[in-house]
Amino acid sequence: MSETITLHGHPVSRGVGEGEALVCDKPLSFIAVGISNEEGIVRIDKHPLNGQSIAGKVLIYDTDIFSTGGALSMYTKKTIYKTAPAAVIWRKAHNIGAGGTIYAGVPSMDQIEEGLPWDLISTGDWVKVDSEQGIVEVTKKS
Amino acid sequence: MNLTDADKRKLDGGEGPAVQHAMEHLLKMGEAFDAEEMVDLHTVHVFSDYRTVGDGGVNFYENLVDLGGHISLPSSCEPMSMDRNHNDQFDWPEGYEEGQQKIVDALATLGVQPTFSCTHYLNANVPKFQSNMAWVEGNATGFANTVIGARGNREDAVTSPLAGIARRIPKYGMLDPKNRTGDCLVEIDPNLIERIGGDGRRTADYEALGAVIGDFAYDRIPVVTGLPDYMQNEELKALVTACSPAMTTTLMLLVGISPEARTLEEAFGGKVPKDVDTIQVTEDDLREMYGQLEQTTKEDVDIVISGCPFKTLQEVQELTEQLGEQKVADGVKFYIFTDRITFNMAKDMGLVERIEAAGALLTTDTCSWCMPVETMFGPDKVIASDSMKMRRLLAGDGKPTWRYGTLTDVVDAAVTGKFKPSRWN
Repeated sequence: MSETITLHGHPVSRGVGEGEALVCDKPLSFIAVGISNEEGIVRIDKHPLNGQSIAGKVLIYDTDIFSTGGALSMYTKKTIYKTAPAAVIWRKAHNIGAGGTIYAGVPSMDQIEEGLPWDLISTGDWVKVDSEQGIVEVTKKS
Repeated sequence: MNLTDADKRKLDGGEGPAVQHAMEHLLKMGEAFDAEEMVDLHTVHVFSDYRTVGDGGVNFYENLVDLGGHISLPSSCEPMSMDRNHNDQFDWPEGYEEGQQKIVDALATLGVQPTFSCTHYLNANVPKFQSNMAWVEGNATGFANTVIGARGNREDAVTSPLAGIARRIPKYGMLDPKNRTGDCLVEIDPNLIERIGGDGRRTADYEALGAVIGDFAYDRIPVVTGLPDYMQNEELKALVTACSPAMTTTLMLLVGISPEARTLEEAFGGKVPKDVDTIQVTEDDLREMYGQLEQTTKEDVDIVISGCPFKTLQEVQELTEQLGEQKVADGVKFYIFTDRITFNMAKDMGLVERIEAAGALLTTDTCSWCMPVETMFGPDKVIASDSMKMRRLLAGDGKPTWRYGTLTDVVDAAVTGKFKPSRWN
């Protein structure tokens, strides 16, 4: 049976979402030029997630960088193209990610008490984010 | 969060459904960042471009209109995805004009001033010291916080218009004076200051310097010493452009320039912390940044871009002088970006005519960041630019390849078709 761990954090956008983890320790932007709204695929120069799809994933990255328009790019991904992540976890929330996830209804959290999120969660793990309770359940990939 | 009776009235729908909708979001934002209260808002700057916000953005704005939303505060808006005075010069994708027009119409109904500019803080929506802002756009919040001492985060595209409708914003981040002190120290080498900037070089030099500072500071507030006693608005604009492509924060405390950093001690809130994380920036760092911003050594360029952030009138004059009587080479496109206020003054001064006679294009309301560069420019093109921000934001799979140089370098590239870097070698 796969190992399951429970983490605790600070709720940003309240709700419950789950999916496969897609993890990096770098900043990221949701702007259309960085992650196309239509496909949800990362296309940012030298980014560790370059070429990966964020759609339906529990996305883990450092914080938001680049344009403030990322918040509405997130909303378009969620409401028009269904390419938004299932949930987001940051080391530290930025207004861009917070505003986007709150308005789009994508659960999000930051400040995981047990440590840096990329040290605790790996790409491919199954992650359930319950930001109503401030809890993250991680089922490690076997 | 502690809400006033007036806040509660807004939240309960006492000022109509748009204000209620806005307050519901602002309350969630405040809770997300543990704000204790809201403060009065004084100025708003919102997003416009269809390429970024998409049809979700159209629905977002049209919903605010349907709810009866209105922004009565001093306001402005970002560049949009098109320059409709020069439609024939661009091959916009199908549906773009319609999508963009819906946003333009919604913004007009909401009462947003149609600046379509990222440098509105210089000529249209100018905040005062300690004004509370709900602004999108890194260079604008960077300039307003750093140079003017106005207070605002790099607010997101959803929260800014909603705060404008509610005329309130949670007191978080840069809106809370107690968060406006330095976390790290940047000391600029005097030898670098002796060589930096000047005609034809100031934009690229100060944008590169900003990137060095911003990459170091990242999510902290940098205190910067050693800058010249007097800096032009254009140099400061270039420096704070790093607020978005390099640093995630939006305040640089420039000692001797920023109103909240009259002294080094004041910048750190009274006392310089022991063992504060410090870097010295020298000519080598600027040379390295210029190198880092180059994606290729190919000399042949297809496109030349200048004006991100938008050019001021002084910068349009500078560019026109650099161009002189020269002509843009066959097969090369030279785009220069500015706002409609500056364009109209440049037109009155005969500058637009001179730029067009040289075969270059001065646009209004838009820039290549707001355009779909993948389809309009294509991945095979080589672009030369003096904009660090454009270079960093528009690179990656399916996008053009970039060369970075001074204004003199990129004007020369437009005229000869060959890019030859001249700076810091």
